[in-house]
Amino acid sequence: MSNRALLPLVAFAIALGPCVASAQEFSPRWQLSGRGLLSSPLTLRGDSLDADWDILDFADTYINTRFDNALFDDTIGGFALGVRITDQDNPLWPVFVYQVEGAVQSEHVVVQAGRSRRPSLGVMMPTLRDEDLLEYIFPLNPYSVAGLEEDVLFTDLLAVTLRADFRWHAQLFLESLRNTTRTGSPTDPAALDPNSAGVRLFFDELPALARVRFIKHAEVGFLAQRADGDFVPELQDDVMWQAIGSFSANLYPDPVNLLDVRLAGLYQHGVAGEPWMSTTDQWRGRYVSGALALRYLHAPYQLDRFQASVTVAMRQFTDREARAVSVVPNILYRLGQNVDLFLQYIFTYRGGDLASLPESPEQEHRIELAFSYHFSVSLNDTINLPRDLLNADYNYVPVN
Amino acid sequence: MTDSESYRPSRRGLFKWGAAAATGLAASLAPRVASAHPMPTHDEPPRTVPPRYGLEGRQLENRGRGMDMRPVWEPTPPTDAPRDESAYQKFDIEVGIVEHEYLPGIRANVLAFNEQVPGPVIRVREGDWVRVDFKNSTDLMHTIHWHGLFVPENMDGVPFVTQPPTMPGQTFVYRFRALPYGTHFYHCHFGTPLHMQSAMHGAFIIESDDDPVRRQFPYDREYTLILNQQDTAMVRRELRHMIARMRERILLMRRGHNMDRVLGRFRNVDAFLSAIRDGWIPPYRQSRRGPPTSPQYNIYTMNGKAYPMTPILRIRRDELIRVRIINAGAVEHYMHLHGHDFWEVCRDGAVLPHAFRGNTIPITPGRTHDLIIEGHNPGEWTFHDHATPRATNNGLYPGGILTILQYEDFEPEYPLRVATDE
Repeated sequence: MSNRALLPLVAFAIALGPCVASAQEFSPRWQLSGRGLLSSPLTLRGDSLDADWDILDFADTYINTRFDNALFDDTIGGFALGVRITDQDNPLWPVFVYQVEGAVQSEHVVVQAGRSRRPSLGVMMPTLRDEDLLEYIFPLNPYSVAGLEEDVLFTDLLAVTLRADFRWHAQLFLESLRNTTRTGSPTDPAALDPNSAGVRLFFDELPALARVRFIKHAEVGFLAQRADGDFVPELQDDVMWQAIGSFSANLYPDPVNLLDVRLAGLYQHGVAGEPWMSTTDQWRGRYVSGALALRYLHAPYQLDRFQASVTVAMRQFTDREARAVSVVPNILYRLGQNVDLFLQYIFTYRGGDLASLPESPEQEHRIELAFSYHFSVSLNDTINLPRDLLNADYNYVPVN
Repeated sequence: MTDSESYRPSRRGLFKWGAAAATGLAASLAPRVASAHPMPTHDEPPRTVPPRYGLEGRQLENRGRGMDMRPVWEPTPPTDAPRDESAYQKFDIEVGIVEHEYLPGIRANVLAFNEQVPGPVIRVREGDWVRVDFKNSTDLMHTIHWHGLFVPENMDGVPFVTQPPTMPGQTFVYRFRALPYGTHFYHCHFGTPLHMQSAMHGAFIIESDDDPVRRQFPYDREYTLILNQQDTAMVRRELRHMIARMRERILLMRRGHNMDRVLGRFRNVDAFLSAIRDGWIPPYRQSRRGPPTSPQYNIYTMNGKAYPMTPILRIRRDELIRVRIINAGAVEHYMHLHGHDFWEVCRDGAVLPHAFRGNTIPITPGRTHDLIIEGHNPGEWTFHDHATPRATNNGLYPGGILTILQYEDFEPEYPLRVATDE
């Protein structure tokens, strides 16, 4: 569903709100979070190092708000709305509504419906932007005609998650990935067609213990997409599927000098042997990919001050000679709470058929200096965070 | 008309003291009371060396590196303390995290002594030697401060000042004489605003063989009411952050990390200023545990419960009851009794020179008041905080600090007695 298609829904909800609300309305817990990202990227492409310098780029700036109320039985019901600024050359420019989600959760069950981040994004690499390693670690969207990051990172979905001990999770989800292949227009409203489904089993350590425990995250998952010709001509009567796995651990759990490792791997059983005409053709290919990141975080006196990381990612197609490798070193210096300076370099090498695609040079260098302001506040805080340390390790008290 | 003149005398001797106050006899009574309960002190040898950081008995082992994690910390006992353990009144107090219900539907994880909210009442005789083995079964640091007691300095329970904080899993042994007579209390002195709010408090009552109050007001029954208030969201949020932060600190301690600046503790102000010059940022400028906020209290409690779950004071016709009120919270309360006057007989445990008569009494944080109520007006009488926002639950009246003085032999004309929404 496109932004435009969402407008009537949002307008209806806003108009309906005062009608439903009454004097008995109970103020919700209100969370507001966001990130302002201002950067100046320099990109050098090809053997001739053709330069492309954006003096200022504020893509991926976002703001998100979430409302929660306790239901009559102490189940928690909530609604979230989030918008983010797209790349300036993105056909969805300037703003993409990336989250319109309702959720109900109890101690052991979470039900989500609406637009949200795709649940198949296991562990995040320590890069400046989510999409810096988009093609290596995320299950790609085979129905995207323009290769937009929004097509990969977000979806309309219905998800049910069962959890135990607030750490062990089993999740089933049905996605409606943006399908822009029918008309070839990247701004097409996506039909509400369920076209992807998946299951994940994962362990997530509580955020509060992320620096003292060894294993932080471990996951295996399986996704499959409808691939009949009504959707994508190249996917005639095939089922396309991905197996995913990710892992994150502290090599040296320490709140002052933390060293952690992240690993993500993916196998996509896509179309084999088809000719590639565009960049997104290879999104439907058959390949194995993954990334490995090492991160050092220095937090003197328990205040984060400095971070350095390096991530190496690779992608190898199994049905043809095509591969890519990226190396991403970066450093972060915290100027004060909520404010960071970020310097990142990305080197990308593409070989074989990948290097012959449009706007896909064999070598690419991207250097980016960024200013990041990020925040998260919670008001009228009558509801406990579901994966709160007290809930998980002591007694489950969702509301007080 | 004076208060005493307006009040009808009783055969129970209640107004002997009131009359004494009115006629000036109180002045002669006061020295007698005071002399009956002189302010004793512990025998303490003269100090030839001024106290300093690192004194035996309260030094932080591995100071400048980790914290002392020995299982039992037993500081140097008072010099006049008995060596025979059987000479002590011994108490075991353990702090843990329990789920507590302030009233139906309002629950919280709280820090509680012996899984009770408030903690158990410690009741001893004046002059008894007391030993309290305080075990910390939480992930946080704690101490116990004996509020109003004349304990030796190294038993006073102020972390980083008189003792090291009691570490997770550790037991700290307190020894002292139970002095002076009266109504006192104990509470955690580490992270005091949060830990006291989160139920780490209890009554400490020192009785006398020759109780001056009972001598004047021969009562049989007594009640102890501990007043407190909670910002339940703040308690949850702060507790969560403190536990998370403390688990990290325990890891650092076990590795022998220099903890002084991590914990924000310094030998003196010069060391504190030196740390700032070195780039150390004080926690009041950059919090290590989320945004610090001032509390916005939503639940007010008597003995850990909010109305209508508060304890009921029962009385019979012509009976005297003693009510000990302890303000273990951080805001002032104005307790008002309907249909009666009461007599304030003790303040902070100390017997007053003469009893003060009234029906509303301000109770400031940290203070205790002993009241005598005479059962002369049968009925069910409201006894509540007259700062009425504190007689609410989540802002809804009635609730909070509100209870009933209930005559046991009274048949009410109006049967409904509990309201939750007015």
